[in-house]
Amino acid sequence: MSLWKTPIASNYKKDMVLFDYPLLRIWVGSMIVLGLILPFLTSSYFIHLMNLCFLATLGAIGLNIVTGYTGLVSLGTGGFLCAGAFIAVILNIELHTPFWVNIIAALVGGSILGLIAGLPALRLKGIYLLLSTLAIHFIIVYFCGRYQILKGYIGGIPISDPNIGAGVVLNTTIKWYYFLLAILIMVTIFCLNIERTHIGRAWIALRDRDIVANILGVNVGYYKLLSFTFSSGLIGVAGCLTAYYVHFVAYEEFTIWTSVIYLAMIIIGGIGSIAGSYFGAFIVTFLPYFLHWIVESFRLPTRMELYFSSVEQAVFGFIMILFLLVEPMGLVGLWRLKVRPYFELWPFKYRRAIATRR
Amino acid sequence: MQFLANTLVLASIYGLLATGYVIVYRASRVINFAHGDFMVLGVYFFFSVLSIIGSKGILSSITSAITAFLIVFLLSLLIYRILIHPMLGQPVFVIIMVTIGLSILLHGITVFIWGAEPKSLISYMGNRSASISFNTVALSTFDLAFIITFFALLIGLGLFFKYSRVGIQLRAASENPLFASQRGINIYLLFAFSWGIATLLGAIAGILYGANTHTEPAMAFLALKAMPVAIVGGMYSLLGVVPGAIIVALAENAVAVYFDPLVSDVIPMVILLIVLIVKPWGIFGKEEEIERV
Repeated sequence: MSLWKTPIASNYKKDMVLFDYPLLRIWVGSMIVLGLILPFLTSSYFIHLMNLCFLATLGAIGLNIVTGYTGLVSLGTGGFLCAGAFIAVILNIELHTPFWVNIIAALVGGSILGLIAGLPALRLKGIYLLLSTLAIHFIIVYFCGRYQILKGYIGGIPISDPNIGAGVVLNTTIKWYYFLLAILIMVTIFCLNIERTHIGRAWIALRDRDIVANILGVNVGYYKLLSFTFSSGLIGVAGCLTAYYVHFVAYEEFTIWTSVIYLAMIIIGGIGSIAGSYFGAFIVTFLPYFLHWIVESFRLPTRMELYFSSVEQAVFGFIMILFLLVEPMGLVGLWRLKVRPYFELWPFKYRRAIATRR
Repeated sequence: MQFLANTLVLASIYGLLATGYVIVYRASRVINFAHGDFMVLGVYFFFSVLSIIGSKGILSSITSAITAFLIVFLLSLLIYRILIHPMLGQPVFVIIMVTIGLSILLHGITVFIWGAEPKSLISYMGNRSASISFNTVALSTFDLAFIITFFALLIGLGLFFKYSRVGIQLRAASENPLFASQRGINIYLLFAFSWGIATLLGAIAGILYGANTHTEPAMAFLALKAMPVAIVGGMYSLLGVVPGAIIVALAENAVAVYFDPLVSDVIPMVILLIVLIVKPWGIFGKEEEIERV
């Protein structure tokens, strides 16, 4: 049996397997094992970077649900992250609520804001929706900034290590690593499964052809709002966790650039794919460090170091455009449409002209 | 009175930028998120040409402005050919994401080449901005130039679209690209042309604004604030830019003066959201223009 081929499912249980071909199973298994033992192999700094990647992945999965699955492009990611972070911080300062309450509050608050941002989606689609999410982004960031300035926190609002219950305080990068890994795995499995329920199928139908979806009985408005709500709730949680992780929240960090970076993540990784969110988030998070390494080790002009952030921006823009021009489905698309079919069919070049799975 | 005059100036700035959005949108149904960065690019080209020429004064300013317009126009055509042209026919939001990517790319390049610190353009131009006062109203020369340029360009473009051959072709192409192309109109050339014109307008606005206050790459944010103007007026309507710009500028200035200056940055976005929820096709837009759900 080939490593690359999806075996033909002979019963329902086999058809419902999440990771359906052997190579994928090997890959996922080894990644989980690597993820579990990684803290013993590398330095604490690398683990810190991994934590940042995990947080970015959470946000990217959230964005991928609304943009990738439902096909509604959102530029409001920065705003929702900001909302999640500030909900946690405000509750922490004003009411001294525990960590889990704040997480739930960020989830609910993010969802409600997403609902508001999605309201124009009932009437509009395409670019007009993009603009409404852009507007929501600026409005949220403004209110958060207002709170921060009125309370007199000039540089940013501090927040202490969370106590996740049973006496465990997340005060080291390694504890954070396992905590985030656990959350990420749960979210991933949840999202992979929601893709296969009627909800996920309705979203995909809306993305591919909303009129047909409507005729087939998909309630367009309901599912669009559901997608917005769910995704922004998830992004809110990501923002809340980020706030706890970096111990510090400042509204200046959430610019339009944040939203664009998340959009770049899912474009690079793959639109409409959970795995794509992972790849995109990891590449985008590591790219600045990689660029920095290149600039430092290859004796490039000092101006490049001086204006490093602009070099980074230019490279991001370039990669984003390159992917959109060459492979709009991202790395996952490259794998699914080019690499895997090639090896699956090898030594032949073409599939026989019969109806095949996908 | 001073308040109204300031509003008029702000409205002209927004209007000039929003006209760029409207022209691109009319032609190819795309919102150009890189508009602000083209505007900044125009200013910095102007700045560079001015430094190369070396002499100061009105004449050299005008020469270098024209050179900068030419460079930006050609550059935008080139970018259009390389990036946007191959994407035509793809879903609109893919093209928009390309323009978003282009926006960061251009912003990065601009900061890398010219630096991020604010520059005083006017000191390089060598002429001072005089204050001109009528009764109780005081305006700087560039404020006045802004208002005049905006209305002159708007009237000029309106006449151009209405009567000139290219203008009629453009309207036909935006009405129905397929029919237009079958009638022998080169719609790709027209799209590229409108893209270039829009960029040119952005560069004009950028140079005037940069000369009036100061120049920095963060100026691109101004173009983002001009987007609500285009929406309020209706993305499809050149005429709608005027009321749109006046509404947005009035709201922004009124809030800044009577309520809280910090809110003024958000007010265009609030207006944008309200308009999108209540009357998404804008004041002068046609209802059927928008893809409805």
